[in-house]
Amino acid sequence: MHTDARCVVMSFLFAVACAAALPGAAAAQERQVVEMVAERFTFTPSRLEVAVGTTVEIHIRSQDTNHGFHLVNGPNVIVPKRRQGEAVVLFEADVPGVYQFECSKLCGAGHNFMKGEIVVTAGPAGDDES
Amino acid sequence: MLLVPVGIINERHEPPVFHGVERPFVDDVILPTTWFDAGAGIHGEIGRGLRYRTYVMAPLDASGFTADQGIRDGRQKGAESTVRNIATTGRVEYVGLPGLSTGASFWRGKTGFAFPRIESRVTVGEVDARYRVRELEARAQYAHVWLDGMGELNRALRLANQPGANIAREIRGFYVEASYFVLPNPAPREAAVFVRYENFDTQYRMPAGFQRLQEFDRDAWVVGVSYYPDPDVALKLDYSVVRNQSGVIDEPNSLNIGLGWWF
Repeated sequence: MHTDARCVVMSFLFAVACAAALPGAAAAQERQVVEMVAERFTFTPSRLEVAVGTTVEIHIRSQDTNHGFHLVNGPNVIVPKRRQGEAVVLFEADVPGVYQFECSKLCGAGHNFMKGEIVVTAGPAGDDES
Repeated sequence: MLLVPVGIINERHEPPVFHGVERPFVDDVILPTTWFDAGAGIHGEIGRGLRYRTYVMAPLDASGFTADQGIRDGRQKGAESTVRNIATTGRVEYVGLPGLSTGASFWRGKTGFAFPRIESRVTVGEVDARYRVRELEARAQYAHVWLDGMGELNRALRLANQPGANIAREIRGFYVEASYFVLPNPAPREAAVFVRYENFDTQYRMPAGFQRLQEFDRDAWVVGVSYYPDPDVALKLDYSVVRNQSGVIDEPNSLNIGLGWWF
């Protein structure tokens, strides 16, 4: 039985007021899809670098148990257990800065190590980094 | 309390993480999992798939070292640990390619605080790799331990209460493992068959004046199956064939059945 039901889709807008003030904000944004793996006690990749104006679509699959993906001050979703689907988070990179994310579901002794960041740059983005 | 960041198993040491009812022998008598102690440190990302962890921790206690289990019984385990000297440990991992995870780690510290006149220092070096492509997974790990001052320590232990003390100055071990997940993906449950070869020697190099005990130069084949009704639960069956280099002392083979879960 196919159990790959995408469990959660969330849109997240950072600093809507700032984005609205940017010229061309209404233009179609570039979309970047990231496949992320959650495994005790890391996200891989755990560091993303994107250009401002990018819509980042993060697909998160677990290699073991339930994890949480919590973008600080943003969405918080549950990542299903291995082979039980994926979580999808949309992140609108409207304002340059560093946005932290972390596991939000206690997953073991190294749970507090399970963190990462999205770096939104003002210029062209570098490659994804782990 | 920190888990020492060495090897594949130690930081994620619960049963669903490894195949076989027992952990790999190398993760028992060479790397003493579960290895933890009081400490503090930093961790982070270097970039491009490189990440690191480095800690200072309470050291091992050399008075617990043995000929057959190496440094295993030297773990202080945090509670009332003696920290006359600080040990250092660290790990660098590369996870930049899909399915591949590689790492190298070390541990180093003075361990002779129970014998103040003996300069006992231990250095652990380790490299490992895991690779997963579709339903096939492979793992490999090599660990080497250098123990300084073991000649003096053996003599001191023999004068105390351990007449057979015969701790080596170097111990080492490695294993390679292949597993295949036999149920189609996606599936609500999983089953994997595996085979693992291990070679481990806790008498690899001896201090001057001490003889190798060849029964502790061992290798093993382990074959089995792991069934996962849930990713956090593992029902395991395996058969282990263990041999050593002694012509006198045999190692027992074993059939093992186990149920484990991550709690």
